Amino acid sequence: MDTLDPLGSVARNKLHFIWLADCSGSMAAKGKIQALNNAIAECLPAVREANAKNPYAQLLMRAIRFSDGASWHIGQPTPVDSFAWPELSAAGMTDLGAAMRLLAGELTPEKMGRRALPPVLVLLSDGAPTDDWDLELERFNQTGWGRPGRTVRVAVAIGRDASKDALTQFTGNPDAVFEADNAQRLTDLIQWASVTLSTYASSGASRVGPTEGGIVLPPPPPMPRGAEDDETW
Amino acid sequence: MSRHLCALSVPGALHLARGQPCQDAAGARSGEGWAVLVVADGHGAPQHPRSAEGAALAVEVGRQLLAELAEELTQSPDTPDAVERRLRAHLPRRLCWSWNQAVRRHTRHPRGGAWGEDLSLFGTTFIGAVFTPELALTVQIGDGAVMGLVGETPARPLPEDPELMAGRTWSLALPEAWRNARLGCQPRAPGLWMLCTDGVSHGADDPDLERLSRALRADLTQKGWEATVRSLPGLLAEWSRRGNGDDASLALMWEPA
Repeated sequence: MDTLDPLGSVARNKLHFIWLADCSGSMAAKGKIQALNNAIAECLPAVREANAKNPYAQLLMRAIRFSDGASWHIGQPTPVDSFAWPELSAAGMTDLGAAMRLLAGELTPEKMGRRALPPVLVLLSDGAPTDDWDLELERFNQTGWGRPGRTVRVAVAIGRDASKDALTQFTGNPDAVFEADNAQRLTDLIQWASVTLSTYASSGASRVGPTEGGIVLPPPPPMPRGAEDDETW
Repeated sequence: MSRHLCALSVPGALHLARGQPCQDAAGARSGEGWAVLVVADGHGAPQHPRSAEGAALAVEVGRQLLAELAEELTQSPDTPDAVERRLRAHLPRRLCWSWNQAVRRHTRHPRGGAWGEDLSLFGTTFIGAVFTPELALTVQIGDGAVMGLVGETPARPLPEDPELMAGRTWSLALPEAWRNARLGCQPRAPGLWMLCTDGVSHGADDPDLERLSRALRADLTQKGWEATVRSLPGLLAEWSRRGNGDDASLALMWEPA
């Protein structure tokens, strides 16, 4: 006789959250890479707290680093409760295209299934891409999960030299590109992206219609609070 | 051959926590030799504030429309291929038109069955199934799933829709909503047939759904219909609590071989 437990394998929806961190040589200047390391490490307790309030989505974080090429900084989709941020260092070029290639190879229906919540992609960069990034971005945008409307994308332009054009092409929306010209603003934006966007993306309500409709982001954090002591980038 | 039907919706754990109503609906109907199952999932997002009413109307309309179709197909049988060809475009259009009309009657809006933006307030998915002595006909607009368990083989009468990823769904309230319909018709076979909203499963390729269907059939065989049906509200509530927290609906037909 069959003794299957009907509830045996019921699982929460998975929410994939992926950091894309620019580790080019210019990120070493004026403490930008250290500010990025600090900001991500500091946001984690708040993300864990927010995630604990939503027992119906499983938040899984990982990270890509890109400079001369790209690699998984944290490759395993990791429950946020056990996610730790090993510090990044900066050197080399800004191979955003290589990061897009990594992303495209991972965000496939075959590897992710089709039922996950819209993955959150947060790109952090201080410069202009140096490889064939636009071609690779286009390829990613044509893959299953990369198609418009299937991810929540935000970019943070770190300092005044960041290429906002490239970041806008990545997000597909100029309103999803934010400027951080000091460490405090970077911290605020990273906290907003990680807490607000993960909560937003896991809200569970169905989104109706074709994927071209895009995703309307919740509002970003207010402009800097008491950042007088921070060096401007 | 004995035949049993049931349909139920339970509020999702997340809806209960937020004080939101159940926005799903489910229904069943039967006649001489035929049966109809329907489920609908109101979208629930703020731009669809009356989607619970939309889902209830979809079930009401679907039961009526599909019952008429079941009577017709029972009295004038045809091959599955011929029925599918005849109904592929016609049935989804008629379903959408009838739902539009029902919403307008509900709101005393004079527009009738033509599409309009006012329908979006009531947005909902729809899945329906008609079982005649010869045929099993299924139609779906949006997410959720249809699955049969005939012998040891899971039957998935509708193809997966590759557009339904990342929480996207189609809606009866979209313009030309019938274009997004999937429809299939095949010979009827005894067994367990299930329709469900996405609080249970997003799609028929879901292994959890196959597991559920096998477990339910085991219960039906071992404990009987009444006991199994009595357990369903608790089972769905727990399913929602352990899963995505959404409202959960099932419509079942059980015909032991």
